[in-house]
Amino acid sequence: MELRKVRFEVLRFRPEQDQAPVFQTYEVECMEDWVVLDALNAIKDDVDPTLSHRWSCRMGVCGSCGMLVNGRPVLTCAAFVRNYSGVIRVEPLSNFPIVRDLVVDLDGFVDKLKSVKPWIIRRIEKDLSEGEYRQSPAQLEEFKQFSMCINCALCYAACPVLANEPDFVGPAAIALGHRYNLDSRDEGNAERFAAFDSHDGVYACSYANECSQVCPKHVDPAMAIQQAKLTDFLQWAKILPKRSFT
Amino acid sequence: MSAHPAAEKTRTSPARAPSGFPFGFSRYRNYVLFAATSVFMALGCIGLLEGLYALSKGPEAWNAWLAHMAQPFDLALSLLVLGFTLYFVFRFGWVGRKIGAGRIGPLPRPPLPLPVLGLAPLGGFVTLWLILLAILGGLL
Amino acid sequence: MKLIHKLEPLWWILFGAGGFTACFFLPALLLGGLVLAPQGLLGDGLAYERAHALAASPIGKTFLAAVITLVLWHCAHHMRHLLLDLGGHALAPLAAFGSYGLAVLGTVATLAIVAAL
Repeated sequence: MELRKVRFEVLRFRPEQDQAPVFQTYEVECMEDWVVLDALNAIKDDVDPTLSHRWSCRMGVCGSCGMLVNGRPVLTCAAFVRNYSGVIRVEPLSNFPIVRDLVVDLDGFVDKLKSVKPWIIRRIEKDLSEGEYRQSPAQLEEFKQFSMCINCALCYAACPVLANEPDFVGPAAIALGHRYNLDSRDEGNAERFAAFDSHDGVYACSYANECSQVCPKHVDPAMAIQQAKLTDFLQWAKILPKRSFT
Repeated sequence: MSAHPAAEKTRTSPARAPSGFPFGFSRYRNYVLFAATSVFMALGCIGLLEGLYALSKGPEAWNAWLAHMAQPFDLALSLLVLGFTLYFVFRFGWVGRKIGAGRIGPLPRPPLPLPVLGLAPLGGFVTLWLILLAILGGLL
Repeated sequence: MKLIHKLEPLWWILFGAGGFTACFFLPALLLGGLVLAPQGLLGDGLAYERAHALAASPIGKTFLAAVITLVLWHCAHHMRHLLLDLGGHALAPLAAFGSYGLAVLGTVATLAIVAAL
């Protein structure tokens, strides 16, 4: 297998010694089938053990390894080195404070996910003796796409609104809330209304569509947000009641 | 809530804006262009209002306004406004297809595939344009 | 600003309704009124008598007032977001009050001009 020497410019930030982020260059011999994550692990293993970065499954299902590669938010486990020419620039996700090197502070992101109450809400919980909830394939189809989110936060890194409105609840959270609003078992529409209806809710979105462009799981959060806007308006105007619609 | 609320957080570096915003990356450029259509469409409305105002002032004012709008600069501006408006229509229709593709309250998800949902409104728009142009041109 | 935020769904539906109105009617109005008629390419379609008869009729007045007003509110909302994207959070009050303020002025002007037809 051919080896290729690739130059990586990696953003470093060590709060104990750096006032501001700086770039550090590494030269890595990459195999033909390597992804950027492989190169970062090679740097950490063989060249510079002080480099900090998050990763886990290395196969695009855990959502841990999101970073900017040449300015674009990608999962580094899915970004093949051979698809890039010249120097490869690796930075932590935009729109998030940087904790250290390529690791960002995701507390705000997690709080936003929690704010949309991403669980089945029932007015009255069904007793176990009443049996399971039945859901047809068609009912599942209505929300399934929006349930595929792996919380990688690439959509937050790509969103131009978040740069100026950091409190914007954001694409993943809205898609997640919308997933539950669409779930035939759920009756929690009214509970999620508050998170959606505020000016940091769905209406802060100005339809850049970048979230859907970068999403590695084809969730299409932009679609969820636009549907949520119309549904939310109809409820706000009391044209539709705030409840489950099955 | 952190697992160790008493743990000290280290100093973080501030969040950075998305790379290439607003003009450095093609998709962000298109997004800003789409937003800029609003300026040109507003200009178009002002132009229409100018014309209606002239219309209310009588035939001389109307013909003078028509002659004024025929000038090269005004014609160029009008064509620019029209260009931006058409760009707006295509991109706005594209958004609309995403809204229409899912359940809205009790209204179920339509059985049509996404490309059809996108093309149908466009067909509707163009039909209306032709009808309206025919009315303005005295054919209807 | 609190009131602006409370009414976000309203600004959005005006944006949406204005957008659809623009999609349906604006290109033809602009092409016919601002380009073809001044260039003499509409025949007698918009000669004074006919143009005034069309515009000043009850249907014409309603149509013109509704279309232009809705499109102006659409543009206002979009311009507000454009200002936010380019100018940052600090511009939020100016963006909101400026845009919607201009839309109010535009609405008044439209109603006045259409009424005078």
